[in-house]
Amino acid sequence: MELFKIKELRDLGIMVLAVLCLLLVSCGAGFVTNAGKTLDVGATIYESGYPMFLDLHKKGLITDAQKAKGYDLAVKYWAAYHAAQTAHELYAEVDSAENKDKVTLAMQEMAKRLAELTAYIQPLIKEGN
Amino acid sequence: MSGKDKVQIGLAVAEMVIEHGLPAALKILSTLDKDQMTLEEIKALGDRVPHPDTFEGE
Repeated sequence: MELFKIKELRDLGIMVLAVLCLLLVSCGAGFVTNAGKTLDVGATIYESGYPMFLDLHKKGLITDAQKAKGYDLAVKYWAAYHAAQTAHELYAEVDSAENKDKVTLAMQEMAKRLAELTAYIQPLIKEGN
Repeated sequence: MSGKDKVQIGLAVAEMVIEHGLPAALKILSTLDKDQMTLEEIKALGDRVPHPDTFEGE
C-alpha cells in the first residue's frame, strides 16, 4: 500500500509524512503495530507543533486570520485522528478484513489532514523562529 | 528498509528536531524503535491529540 509518494510529500513541505508512510508499509512489525506507530508519531507532531503555532499568535507573529485557519485545520486533523484511532483499536480487538479496510481508509484521511495542518503551520513556525 | 529510506527518515527526524524540539523528536524515535504495541498502548492512543480548544489559554 502506498499512501503518498515521497516526492509529492516534499512538494507539500511535509517530509514527516514520508516517515509515517514508511512506518505503515514497512516490513517487520505487523500492520497493527505500524498503524499504531503512525498514529503515535502523528500525535507527537501535532502535540508539539500546534502549541508552537499558537505561541506565534501570542507573540503577535501571526494574524487572527492565520490562527483561525490553523485552528480549522487542527480540528479536521483531530477528528480524523480519533476516527483512525477508533478504527485501529477495533481492528486490534477484532481481526477482520472489513475492519482492516476501515483502518486503512481512516489512516489515509488522518495522514491527509495532518499533511494539510503541518504544511500550513510549519512554514509559519519556521518564519517565527 | 533500504538505505535510501533510512536517509529519508534521518532527514525527517532532523527536521523534526529543528521544528518541534528535541523532546518530541526523541519521543518519535522511541516510537519508531518499537517492534510491537500492546493492546493497552493501542487503547492509550485514544488519550492523545486533545482538541485544539484544549491548548487555548496555556
